[in-house]
Amino acid sequence: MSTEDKKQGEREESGEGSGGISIDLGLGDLFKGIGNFVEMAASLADKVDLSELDAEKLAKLQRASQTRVGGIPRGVYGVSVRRGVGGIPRVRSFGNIRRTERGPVAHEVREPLVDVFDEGDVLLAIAELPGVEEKDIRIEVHGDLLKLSTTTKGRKYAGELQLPCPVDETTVKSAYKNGVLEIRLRKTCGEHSRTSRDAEST
Amino acid sequence: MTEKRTKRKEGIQIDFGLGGLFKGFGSLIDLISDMAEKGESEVSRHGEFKVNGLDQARGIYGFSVRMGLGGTPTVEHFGNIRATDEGPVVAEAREPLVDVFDEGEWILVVAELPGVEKDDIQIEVQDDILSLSTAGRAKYVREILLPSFVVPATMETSYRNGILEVRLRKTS
Repeated sequence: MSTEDKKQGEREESGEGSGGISIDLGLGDLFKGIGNFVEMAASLADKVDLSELDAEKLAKLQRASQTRVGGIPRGVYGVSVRRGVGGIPRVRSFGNIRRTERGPVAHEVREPLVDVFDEGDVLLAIAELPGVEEKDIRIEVHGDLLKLSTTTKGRKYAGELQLPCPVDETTVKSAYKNGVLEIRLRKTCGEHSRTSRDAEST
Repeated sequence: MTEKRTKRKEGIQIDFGLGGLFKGFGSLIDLISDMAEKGESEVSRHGEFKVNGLDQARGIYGFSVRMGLGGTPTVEHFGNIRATDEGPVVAEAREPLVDVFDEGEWILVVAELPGVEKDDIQIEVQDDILSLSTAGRAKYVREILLPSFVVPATMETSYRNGILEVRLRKTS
């Protein structure tokens, strides 16, 4: 919660508090890449060409449209970009479209959007898991690997995330509200590793 | 609405098999994966990027594909990265992921609004346009074109676990 409040505070300080203000990312090539992505996706959306489809494929599609996978027959793919730990921009993908040899395929299980914040002694992971019940969320931690999954009948999520630092597996705290899961993990690197590095340099 | 679904085995895959369109998506996904990888290596080369005033801001861009009525695939965008003449910019408010279902006499709109409090959701309906916005920490904004005109007075809403459902009766 403190991070969220801080976030709000910083936005207000920098005068971005009012809605609709755009921020120029100025990230150079990385964002030119995303620009291309946005344009390509937009042009694809305009160019849905059904003439390539034969009757058999169309019938298959119509059947597929009547089956709801996880409540919603849909492919989702997205990327999030943010300034991550240490000021490094992080690009993460999420969604349920995966590459296969036969081309992209929509899975039933969606990879959630997850952000990780370094808060000194703890890492805060925030995952967007809309449409699940708190009791159905499973969190596993092994060293610096965080695993999330849900067992709900409806929407299904699963994701694995490499944390910037190993964490204590026994002090995992989590809270779920309005579709957002917050996990606090105590770091087991940081102070210790810094001390040992200092020791090496002297 | 979710109860109508038929029982499915776990791990089922839908092969879109849509030819050119999805080949296009395939290459988009390749592009983004490459970018993610290159982004990392570039970071290690340059040490740090200069980020203009967005210490905590996040850019999100995504698309959803679904089979619409009659097997026509519809592609929708969501997120807060918008293309402008000066390149992509990150807006404060995010366009949510929205699905619209035609249920005979009713239209069902399902929007993903994670992080929003129920009281912060504002919905306006006029003719066949539903305007959705949220106040508070997580900001979303979206105008949705409905498949038919609806009666605003018939609106029923529910919000739970980050999912908003809006039901509206079509104008007869």
